[in-house]
Amino acid sequence: MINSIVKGAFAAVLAMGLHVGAQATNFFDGFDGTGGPNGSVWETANWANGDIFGCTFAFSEAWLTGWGGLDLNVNGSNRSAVKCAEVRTWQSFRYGKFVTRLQPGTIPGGNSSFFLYTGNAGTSNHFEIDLEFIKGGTVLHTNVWTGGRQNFQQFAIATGWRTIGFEWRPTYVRWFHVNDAGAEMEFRRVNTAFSAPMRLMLNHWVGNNSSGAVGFVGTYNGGGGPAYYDWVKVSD
Amino acid sequence: MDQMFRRSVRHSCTALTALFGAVALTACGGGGTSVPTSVAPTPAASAPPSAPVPAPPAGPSSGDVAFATPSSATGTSEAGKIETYFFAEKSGEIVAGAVTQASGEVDFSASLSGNQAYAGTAIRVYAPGNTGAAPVSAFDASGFTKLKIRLKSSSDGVLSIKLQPSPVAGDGCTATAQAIVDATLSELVIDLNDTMFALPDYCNGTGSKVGTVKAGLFAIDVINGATTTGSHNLGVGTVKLAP
Repeated sequence: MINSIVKGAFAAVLAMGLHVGAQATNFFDGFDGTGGPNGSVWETANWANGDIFGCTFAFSEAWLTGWGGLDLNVNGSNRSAVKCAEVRTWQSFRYGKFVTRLQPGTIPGGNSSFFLYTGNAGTSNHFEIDLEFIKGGTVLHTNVWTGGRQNFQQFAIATGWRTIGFEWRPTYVRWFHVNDAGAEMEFRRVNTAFSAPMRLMLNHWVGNNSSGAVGFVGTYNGGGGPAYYDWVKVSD
Repeated sequence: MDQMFRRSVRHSCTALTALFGAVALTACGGGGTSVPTSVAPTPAASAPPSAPVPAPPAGPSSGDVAFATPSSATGTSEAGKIETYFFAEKSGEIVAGAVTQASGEVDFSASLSGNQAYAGTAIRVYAPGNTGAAPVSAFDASGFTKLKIRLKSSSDGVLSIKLQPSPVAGDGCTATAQAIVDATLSELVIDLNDTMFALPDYCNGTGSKVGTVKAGLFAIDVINGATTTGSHNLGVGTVKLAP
């Protein structure tokens, strides 16, 4: 995408360097250079999460491509020090429709994702809505965490570019993909009610081959590669 | 903020570790919120079963073995039968369309004239050599770990894939996977394990699990379980098993 815009009052507040309260703000980033990692819109991770991650998030592995996309890369050139990438919005959101066009990673034992998150996992303030491509990009893991309790479902999925997202409303979350005609094709819906503001996150990582990692993302046998994000959109 | 977030993510993954290391993967289908799956009867096999036949040796190149390659609207290149079926809560409100075949793909649709509590439009591809006439043959897929199946739907976003034992699970309580699809026929690679092929939630843990079904795979059903008014379709292409 060529355009990159952040609409509405949020942009003005960001320009003042302030964090803002969560609203169902319209938001768009086409990753053409005016947004992207380390900008005013996204925070780029530069740390290790520990188990079950088999890599360290690094500034060096998140960059804007030359064609208007975001590359979140896994760098497996050093098998004992694998690097990976994560970005998240400074802004938090409450409700809305969250959509991205992406090409998930295809590394066995990897995970490329698009999700909302807040809180301390497993506690009453943990809320999360997930789209995660795991096991070489052949499985789509959907999940919603409410007050530390999860409700997930997995789907087989083809690899390659796709437009996909979820809608979070006061009484439900639904997941959908967008077909070539632009129509939303819903594939899951969960009735749930929560309002905690969450930050939008994208990441691409590999597991550490612990039993938990293997059970979730599969076995990582080395190697690296990109997950591409063409654009990210949030609308009321 | 960073430190707080790092701690949060670490805890999240610990929770996932515990989760996936324990029992929750058996709940892939998700806490009672899974995509609707048929509870309606599916057509029974037209002939009694016999003992499973050994799978043919793996091919020299990829190791994949063809399970069903649609060669007509009613049969496969592997001498298996293809049939279609449909069902709805209100049986008078579903009308089947034509079954067509082209380029190794069979397509089927049905139209609902009202919203349903449950409904389904389905294609069943039988195991190699299984013509539906006695003696019918199941297929020993014990040695395979992946199902490769080409699917599409231009009307809906998700299809169910049921591994059918012999006799078929008329209540649908057999190993079932869900697949995200679109209008383009695409290959999906699905692990043949309890995570991806779980029992539907409504079965309450009772039914034919994937390990059992693999040893005597009678047929594979692909079901569009859409329940809303309108036309719902699906297409099935080559079905293969991989080591």
